[in-house]
Amino acid sequence: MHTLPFQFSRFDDDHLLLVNESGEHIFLDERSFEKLIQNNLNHNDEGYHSLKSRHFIYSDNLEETIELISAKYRSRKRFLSDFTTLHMMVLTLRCCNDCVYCQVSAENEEASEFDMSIETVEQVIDIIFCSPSQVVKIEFQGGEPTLNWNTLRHAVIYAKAVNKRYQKVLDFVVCTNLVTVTEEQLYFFKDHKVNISTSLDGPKHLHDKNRVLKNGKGTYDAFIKNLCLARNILGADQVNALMTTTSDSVCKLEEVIDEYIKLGFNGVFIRPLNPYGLAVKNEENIGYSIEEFVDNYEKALNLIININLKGRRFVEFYARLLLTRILTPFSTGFVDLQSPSGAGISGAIYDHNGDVYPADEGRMLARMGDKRFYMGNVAKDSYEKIFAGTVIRDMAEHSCLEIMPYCEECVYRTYCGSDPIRNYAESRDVMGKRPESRFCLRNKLIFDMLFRKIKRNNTDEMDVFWSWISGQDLKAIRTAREDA
Amino acid sequence: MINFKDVIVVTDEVTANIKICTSIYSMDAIRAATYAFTDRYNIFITKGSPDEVVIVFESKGLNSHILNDLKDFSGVLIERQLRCQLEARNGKIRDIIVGHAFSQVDLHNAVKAIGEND
Repeated sequence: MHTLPFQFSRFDDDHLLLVNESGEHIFLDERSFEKLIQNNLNHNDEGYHSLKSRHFIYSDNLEETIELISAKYRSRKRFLSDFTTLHMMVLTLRCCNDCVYCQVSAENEEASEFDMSIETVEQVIDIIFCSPSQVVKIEFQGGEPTLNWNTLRHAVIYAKAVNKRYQKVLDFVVCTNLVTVTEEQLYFFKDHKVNISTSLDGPKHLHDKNRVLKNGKGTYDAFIKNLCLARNILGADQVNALMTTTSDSVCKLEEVIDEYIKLGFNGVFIRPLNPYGLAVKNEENIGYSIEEFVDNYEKALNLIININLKGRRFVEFYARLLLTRILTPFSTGFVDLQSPSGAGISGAIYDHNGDVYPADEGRMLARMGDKRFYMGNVAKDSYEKIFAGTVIRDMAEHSCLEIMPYCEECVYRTYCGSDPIRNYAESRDVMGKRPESRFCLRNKLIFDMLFRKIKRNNTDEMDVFWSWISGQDLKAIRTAREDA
Repeated sequence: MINFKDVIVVTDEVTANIKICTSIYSMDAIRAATYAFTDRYNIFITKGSPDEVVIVFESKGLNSHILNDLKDFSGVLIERQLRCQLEARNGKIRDIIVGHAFSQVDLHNAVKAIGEND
């Protein structure tokens, strides 16, 4: 036998964890590991056949084995061939809210000079349709995008008209705080199949601490009223919500989950704070340690698993994403965790003045005076100049975990990703300094926790995970397992 | 009998040196192992006697216990050396896997070349 490439790490007192390029993993005891690295395992040894079937070793025909691994590797990197799917438009910097962790430095409601014009929105859409991807998702962001209603409305109608020529799969999402949304706007979203992505940080006392109006008043009541209206008009499944964890909620995730369930959401994405804008400025008041976050994230995940076992389907979306990467060979389209980075490749953002950046964080840095990630402007530059320029090339070259110090040998790198803009914001280096990176520590601790669960292989827990990954209900998963 | 005190010299609470034999550990392994400690230490690698480097660790003052950390470092170094050895053995196969995933590599000749080089 001969070994194939893999990464490894000591997992616990008895076992090492091994992961390879095709995304397969295996736990090995020390004795088997020693035999493996000495090329000394034989087919009678425990683990031999698992190692072979999962492409950690081969005994003959290396060519065929490489064919198989390469096919899986290509599947995992499929996001690269969907260049570029997600296009985010900042329709205005105006916002009625003054959230404690806002990363976009919103302007006040009268500052119309920060609105995207009709002319610019058409130029943005013309550039978007140059993208080779057959799937285009246009996401309207802000500020509060509904405050620039005429441009939003025109963007949808114009994009649909342009798409008659291109015949792409075209989706729209509006990211709105729902506070000032009107019935007329909601009917427009319904008529043009514009999904709503909104923010809910938990029950009233938590939500109102973070998400407040300019006058300091909480937004929960207005949010709930308009959430009901939106669901009545668009349908419940057309409205999704995201939460952001602060020091007030990190120990109260149970309350957040209860609120999401009470309001009929089918899952929650337990998101930590991102180190930009007001989240950095207010860190002393709203921040927490990574260890505290992951510790509470694990408790929340256990609670959610139990909720599923009691019969209510409810997904934790980040765990589902990572588990899909660990337990299946499929590509998952999460811009913030790809290698090379998904910023610019999977998604791009168009500022109100037509400036283009690979991600919102790049735009934020520009607002703070650092245009390191400026890719071009839709009025001045061609698609090729913007999307094949030095910014994207440089980011791709410096965000492949496979060649980045520390990441290259990390056991989790097949499932992980890099965030060069965040690296740059934290260390002025797009490669970043991994031993000091909070992003790296958080993901490592979450992977550790998920792999502990996978190693434990508790039937109930794994059934819930497979129901999330497959989209099937828990009963169907159990029946399939029992039949197998 | 050699013990840790023969290779680790703790100067004071925040500074210590460790001697590493370069005929046992590659410079790649040494660099990778030290990099993992850069969050807690300022680190300088310098040449000692022939076949030896001396690594200077200076704590950044984050409640480190320097002797214990350097003992951990020895464990990390062994793991990094093993990774380097595995990479030397398997790196070419990895390159073919990645190359073949995105462009059609002539697998027959690429695999043959590995055998010839070995």
